[in-house]
Amino acid sequence: LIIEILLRLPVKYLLQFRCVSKTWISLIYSSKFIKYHMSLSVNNKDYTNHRLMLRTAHLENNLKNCSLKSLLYESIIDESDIDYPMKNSSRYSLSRSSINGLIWQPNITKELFLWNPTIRKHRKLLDLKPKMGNVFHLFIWFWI
Amino acid sequence: MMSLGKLITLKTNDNEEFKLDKTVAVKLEIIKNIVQDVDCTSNVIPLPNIDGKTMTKVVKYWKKHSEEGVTEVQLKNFDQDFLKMSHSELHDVHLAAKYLDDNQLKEVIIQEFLDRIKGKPIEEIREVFGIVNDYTPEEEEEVRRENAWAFE
Repeated sequence: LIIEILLRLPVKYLLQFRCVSKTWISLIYSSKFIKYHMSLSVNNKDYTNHRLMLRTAHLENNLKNCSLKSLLYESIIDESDIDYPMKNSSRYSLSRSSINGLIWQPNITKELFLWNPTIRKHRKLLDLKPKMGNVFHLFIWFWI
Repeated sequence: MMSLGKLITLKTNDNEEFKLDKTVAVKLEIIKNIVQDVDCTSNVIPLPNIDGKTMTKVVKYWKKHSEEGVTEVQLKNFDQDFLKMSHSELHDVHLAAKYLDDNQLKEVIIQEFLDRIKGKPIEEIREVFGIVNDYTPEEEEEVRRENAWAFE
């Protein structure tokens, strides 16, 4: 019963419920649970857990994040600003597509981040030499 | 194949008997299977995993939801009242619905549990599911701090 209930909850609640007990945190972090939760969310016809990310203007570093369900079906749109790695760097870019909600973000100067906006975590994948940047860019595009 | 009268009797593990119209009972997979598979002359179906108190609730739900001419609004009001029960009773009804393979009832119970836990403090969540906190206060604080924004 608990698994069935947790599978239907948005990620924000799951992050809170990690505090319930050690059994719950290991369930929520188990790869099987994550995969199942992911596939249920992706296939949800009401777009309950889908989020849309918008960059307001090219030169502004502001990213808006809003619920797709509220945008499509509700009168009040649930939206907020979202922080992301390297927000304050003037030279940044974001990939235009995502894989299972993960976004990769090369900082043109030297680093590459993999970012999961839903849990607001990012991981630096590697340091790039400036010359390598473009090659890597191409490679990742193919991969996506 | 057992012979079917108009009524089917369901017998719980504490020997309570529920007489149900056959058209209501055979809608459920498990009853249909027992009815088809078991070669017996009586119309009594044993339910070894369900007690009388829980079955009373389940039968009440079935009867209302198979009532002729019942409107959506009436069903919604009925469900609201029906779900006013303790966490453990709700848990028992879920187990019964699972055993009886009644997906509609199962879904209603899960939705009720979701409503009971969304936006509630962690202590209340533990209460709903009867969970003992096995974190030390420091460990819990650490887990909480890791995603502090989720608690805002």
